[in-house]
Amino acid sequence: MAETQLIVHEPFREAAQQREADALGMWVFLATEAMMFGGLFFALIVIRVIHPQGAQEATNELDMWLGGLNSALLLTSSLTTTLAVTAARNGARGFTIGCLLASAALGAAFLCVKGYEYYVDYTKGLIPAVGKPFPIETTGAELFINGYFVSTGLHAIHLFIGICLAIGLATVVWLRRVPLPGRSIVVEMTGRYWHFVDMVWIFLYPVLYLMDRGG
Amino acid sequence: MAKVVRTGDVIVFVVLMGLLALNMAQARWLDLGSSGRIVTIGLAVGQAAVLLWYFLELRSAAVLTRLAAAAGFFWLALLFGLGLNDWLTR
Amino acid sequence: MTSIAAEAAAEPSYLKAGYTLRSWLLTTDHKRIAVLYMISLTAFFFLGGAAAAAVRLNLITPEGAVLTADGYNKAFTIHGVIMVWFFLIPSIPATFGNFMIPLAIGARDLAFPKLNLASWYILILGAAFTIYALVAGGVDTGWTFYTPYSTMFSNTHVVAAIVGVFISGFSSIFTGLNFIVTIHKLRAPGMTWFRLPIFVWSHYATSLILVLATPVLAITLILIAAERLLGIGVFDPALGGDPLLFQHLFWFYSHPAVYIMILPAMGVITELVTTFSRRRVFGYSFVAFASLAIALLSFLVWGHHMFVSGQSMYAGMMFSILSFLVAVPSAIKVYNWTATLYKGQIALDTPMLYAMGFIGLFVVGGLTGLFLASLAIDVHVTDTYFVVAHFHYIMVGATVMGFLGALHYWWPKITGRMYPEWWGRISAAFVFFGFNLTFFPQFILGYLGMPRRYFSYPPEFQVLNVMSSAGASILAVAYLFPFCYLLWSLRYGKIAGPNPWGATGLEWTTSSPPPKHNFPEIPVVTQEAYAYPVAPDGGAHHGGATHHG
Repeated sequence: MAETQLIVHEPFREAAQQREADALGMWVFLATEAMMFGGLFFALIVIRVIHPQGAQEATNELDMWLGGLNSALLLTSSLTTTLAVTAARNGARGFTIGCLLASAALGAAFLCVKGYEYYVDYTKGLIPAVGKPFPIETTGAELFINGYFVSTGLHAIHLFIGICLAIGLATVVWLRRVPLPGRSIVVEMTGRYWHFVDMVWIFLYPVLYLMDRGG
Repeated sequence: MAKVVRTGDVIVFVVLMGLLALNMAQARWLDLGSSGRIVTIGLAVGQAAVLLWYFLELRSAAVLTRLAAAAGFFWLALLFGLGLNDWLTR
Repeated sequence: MTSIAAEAAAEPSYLKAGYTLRSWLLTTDHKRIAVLYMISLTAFFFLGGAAAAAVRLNLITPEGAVLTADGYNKAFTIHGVIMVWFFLIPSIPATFGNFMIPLAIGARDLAFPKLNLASWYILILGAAFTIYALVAGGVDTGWTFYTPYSTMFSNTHVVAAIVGVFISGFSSIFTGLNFIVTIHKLRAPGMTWFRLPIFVWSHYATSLILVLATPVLAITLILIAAERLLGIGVFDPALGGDPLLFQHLFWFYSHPAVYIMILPAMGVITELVTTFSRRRVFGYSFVAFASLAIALLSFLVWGHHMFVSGQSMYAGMMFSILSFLVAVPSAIKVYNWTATLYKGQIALDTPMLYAMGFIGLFVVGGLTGLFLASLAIDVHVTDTYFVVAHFHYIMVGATVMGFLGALHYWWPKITGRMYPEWWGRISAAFVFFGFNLTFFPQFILGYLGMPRRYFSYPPEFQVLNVMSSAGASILAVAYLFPFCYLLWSLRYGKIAGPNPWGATGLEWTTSSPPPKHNFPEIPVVTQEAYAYPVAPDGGAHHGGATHHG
């Protein structure tokens, strides 16, 4: 039923072809995103390799419980996103909207926790170029913290885009501008992006907060 | 609503949360020494694999889609492998 | 389907589908977008060329003829930034790839037409930032933006230039993504992978590099901007950062980027060689897979840019050995082109002259690349004019020759008119001569030890520098020739038929210029890509050609 309702756009000859092209396009895009974050992870790992002591002291400045709470929030949002995709495929409009808004709310909660963390970092003098001088002397500690800000900042931007997409999509589904299940592919593609942003955090959290913690 | 909330999805979610808890616990209370890094990353890779396979639906995806996903990781491996080689042998 | 076919049969050419500016600027037709690219890239090419002219003019005298030292630094930086990111990277893919891939595989458009238009706007937006940086006072870091100079010392508009390059990267990514999906999903019935023209294969390989390498450049540029604005220190030794980290990340993109430039040109040359020798490509599958092999190997060799910059000795040895491997698929291509010519009915039309020039210059550029991949020789010639000459043989000698060859070959298809053949051949000869006179002396200069990026030099290097500058002026004129006569031909050129060269390939089965939807009906492919011989359509053929058979 989904296929019959799907409108075939210009360059495509049939619905299945269009659907596969959309899916492939999204995955290629996610691969490019992976490469971009990959460069950042590479930099973080290199810092850990050349300054193990400084990076460890910097890690101990970060609150692993707040970070863990954020991980839990994002994993839960991935569950609600998956539920939204399934609901969209089954044409359950109301449930789809609810799940999308739940994902957006969980994402927003993540950003709030993150903002609180940044505030704590500010009071400690960890933020570059503003506030108190950096508290740790050991070489590499400040560098690692700066890497933490760049990577969590870039991730937060991606999450913010995801929240906008989820709210926007919930709105157009509500307005029936995206008919379900005929255009459930839109929900599916938004979900792909959301899961990907979650996956970036799945790696960021241990690399920034957990690795080499202790001492 | 029974057909939209699938038990499988909830189980996957529980597994993801379990791996997170495990990773936090070992980082906080276990001192694994130099192998700690590998354990930490390994658990994250496990989480990512579960996410990719189930929530990102690589389980039921076309071969081509799986290849596109794999390509990203393969090329990252090239960056990390050849790049880190420099610092590890300096 | 049938309604589209009926519509297309009566349809005017894509050029006549609308005459307003709006019909061009909001088009989603891949052919019109290709033309938009062609116009803007031509402008960028002449802008970058003007900067090169300033550089060569300055080097006529040992103490610097026309520019200050600062002005010279800015001139070569403008030249590099514009030529690399706003001409060479998009050159063949965004124009001829855009125009020809859907035609060559029997599709009505690229998979994501709106994204394709967005790619063009993104490139223009990026160019606007970069040109702002140039107008506001210039950038003096060189196109490589090496740290710590770019992050801590340069007082020029580095951030604006970086933002421009960063934005243009998304244009590359979206174009590559579009090509990959199009080639996978929009091939006509019967168009199997091994019936694809090599041009399409090489664009597929190029697209892989575009989508996998460009994002790493993006993050590198973000880190530079963050370092300059906030002092985050990732590349700053004072905070424990490592400038070599920048070089690793930068060359992880920028070495494969060279293959973004050369692979599409190799695809063009394959089409030209087979068309103008009337023979199927020798070793089709080897040529096709060599493109993919080059795309993969291009990611394994970036460290050869860092032999003398302090990376570990073992990393240097590894990257040196891996660099030699690239020669294998490259040589496969050269041998297969040559073997294709053997016993062919060779017609020396303008595109074929460019193809011949390409092969010669590519061999010189490639073999000197082997010199540079050898650790010991590289220590001697690092950062000298030897390197400058080497990569210009590849990026100008080969890629620009490929671009001009493609331009002449597909001009009748794109515009419906023939270019003047005599002028075409004369210009091709001038390009070849001017190019060699410009860059061959630079090999000698570099081997004698003249470093690159210096605005003055010892007097004993003057003769070779004057030769090089003289060659550059010939090259400049040779590039202006096609610009003039191609514009002339838009109005006065002979009308071209659907297939003036008697070539195979689906793009030659539709009218010239093609209708908006490319084909009256989606073709069904039943044979391999290069099933020669094909009879040229007689009447439309222009006078100057010497086709046989």
